[in-house]
Amino acid sequence: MNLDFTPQQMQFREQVRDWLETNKPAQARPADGAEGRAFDLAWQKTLYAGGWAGINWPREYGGQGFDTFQQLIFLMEYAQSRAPGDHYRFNGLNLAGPTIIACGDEEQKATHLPPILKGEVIWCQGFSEPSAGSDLASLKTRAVIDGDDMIVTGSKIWTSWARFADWQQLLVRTDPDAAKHAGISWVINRMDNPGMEIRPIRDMAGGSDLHEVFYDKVRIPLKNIVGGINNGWRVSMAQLSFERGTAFMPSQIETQKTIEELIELARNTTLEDGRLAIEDDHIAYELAKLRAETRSLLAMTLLGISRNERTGIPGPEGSMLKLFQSELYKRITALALEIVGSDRARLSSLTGRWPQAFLGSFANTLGGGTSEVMRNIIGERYLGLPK
Amino acid sequence: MDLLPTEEQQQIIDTAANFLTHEFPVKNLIKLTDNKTQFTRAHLQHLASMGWIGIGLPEDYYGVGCGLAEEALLFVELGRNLMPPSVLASVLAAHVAAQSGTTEYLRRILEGEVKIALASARPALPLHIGASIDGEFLLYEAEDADLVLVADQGGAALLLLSSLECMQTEKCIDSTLHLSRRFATATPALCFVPVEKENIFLRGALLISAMLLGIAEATLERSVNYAREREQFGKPIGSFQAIKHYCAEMAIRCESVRAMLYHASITLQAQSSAGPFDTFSLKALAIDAAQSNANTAVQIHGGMGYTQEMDIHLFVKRAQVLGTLFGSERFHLKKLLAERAPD
Repeated sequence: MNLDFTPQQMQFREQVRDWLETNKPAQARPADGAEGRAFDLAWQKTLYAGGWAGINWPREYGGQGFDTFQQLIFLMEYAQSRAPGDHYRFNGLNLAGPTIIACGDEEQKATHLPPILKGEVIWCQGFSEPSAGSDLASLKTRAVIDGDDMIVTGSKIWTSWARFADWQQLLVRTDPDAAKHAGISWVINRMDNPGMEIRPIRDMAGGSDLHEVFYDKVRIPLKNIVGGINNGWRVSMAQLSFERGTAFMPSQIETQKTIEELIELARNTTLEDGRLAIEDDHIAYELAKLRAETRSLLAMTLLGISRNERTGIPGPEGSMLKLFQSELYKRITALALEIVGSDRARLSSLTGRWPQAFLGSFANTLGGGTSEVMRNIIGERYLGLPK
Repeated sequence: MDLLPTEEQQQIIDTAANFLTHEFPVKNLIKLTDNKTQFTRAHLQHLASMGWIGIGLPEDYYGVGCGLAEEALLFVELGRNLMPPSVLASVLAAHVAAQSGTTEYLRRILEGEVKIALASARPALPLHIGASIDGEFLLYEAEDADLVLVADQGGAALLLLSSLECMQTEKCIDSTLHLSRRFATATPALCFVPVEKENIFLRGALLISAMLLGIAEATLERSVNYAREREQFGKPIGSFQAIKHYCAEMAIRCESVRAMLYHASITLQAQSSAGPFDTFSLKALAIDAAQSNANTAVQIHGGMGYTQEMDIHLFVKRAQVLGTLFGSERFHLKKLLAERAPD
């Protein structure tokens, strides 16, 4: 049991810190989608030029091939420096890219991997459907083989930044007669492919990064199937093999910053009874509890990384961290509303970020697997309870 | 960086788990309903023969030479097996005797020859712990004890049980523990260690948290086993999400406290500024985990969980008792909020 880093690792930390200090963008990421896309691609180009693109990608595919601790250190420094988040770059770097590395053929790798690292393309995901959410494997978007192509008809939903993306990792049903998990293929699709219609969805926090995507006889070459026909379910799990438990470091640091800022806010906010919020027993109790839980989130993240490093297999901590962090963040933003009091109504006020964060926090316990699905996974795969 | 126990540390866990389940099985406690000390001097000596009382003491002080992490791992297992809090009193008393140079007691404490009761101050009277002691105390396991350990944020002291006044035996919520109430009025301490020398109070809080984690894990394990076996409506109740999700929440509480315990053991041992911050966080989370898990375990076990034919109720009661020792949840949360956030 130790929390020590080696002198080499400490030196690496300095190197990361210095580079980020000099190179991170001076201005904030624009809220507008098209400008956001340009900003994300420019930042990815800077990372690539600096030798920091694809920290968890193997060197043979142009990545940095960092070990777990280098990844951890990089992500800690990155979050501390407040460099821009992954945003639209997320899917290519963390999902589509790693999947192509794990399951793609040589041509797919050569075509698609370099542009992701170099900041030339944005990827999105077409997995969920209106009637296949938590039960993803029941997806119905149909792909009929026609010569060297497949013809896709159906619809996808919750596709983030679809109208600003170039490519899509798409799950389609290639064998309607096979068992639910067995007839699915993972395929690469161009977002400007004829027959597609993209409809933005406005979310409750005012954003419109989510989309519904419709496919009407969309033609995709069979050579775009990754990992073999009808093997899509296994392929979609492949990105997990990249996971070293470090993926939760950024959200852990974000949560820590958020709770500390909220405590600071409570020290400076007067309640309707004239006392400071921090002097209110209920608020103080809840703040301290959230602070303790946030601290344990750090410890859990480090424990998960340690376990991963020993066994090389991603454990149940992924689901636990996801559930713990998203529920924690939701409670932090809900408490913030109690502290700002009636000003929660003023999205345009100086404290408007808190009601805004409250609205956005609902996405955390839904996207990437609902809290209920996470509890099922923990119960079944970790505790061995029956289905 | 590696937060997991080393091979040597894992050996301590395995040895303790094996020894305790064979020598002190929880099922032996089910029959005990009379508030008598279950943990005799012979039992204490048996434990001491494993070297456990001095596991975290340097060899110069006749200890094993391990640190706080090893003590913490041992106390998780002690908590899981519902060993009494007086074992913690012995371990802390050895630290007090070592730090204050009270060597004539140190050897006898380490061998289990001297039995220590654990004192918990009641807020009814003003408390003073120093070279002399004032206050009203609840004593755990004083029935056949020789000395008493008292500790607060200012320091820790050992005193003769016979020097305390007005013994009154109480009926304890946990019928496997002996509980009494006594007063100290300018009672001289045998020895006193101020917090500047060693923070015995925080060490106690961390080790009680370890015991609470043991309870949280034991009740999770029992609940999962029961949910796999018990059938209703033609299937194991663990297949129902209502039960499955209870278990998932219990598992997360265990994971969160275990991670926090490891982290705090390292930072407190290193006397890093994060040590108190981590320990305050840990104790608050551990109390919640043990009590929530034990309470949920009763619900999962249904009507049988409410009876004394199963052992679940023992964990519910012990979690309540341990929660009051070395600072309540409220106490630790207040301290935590007043701390500066570590870097």
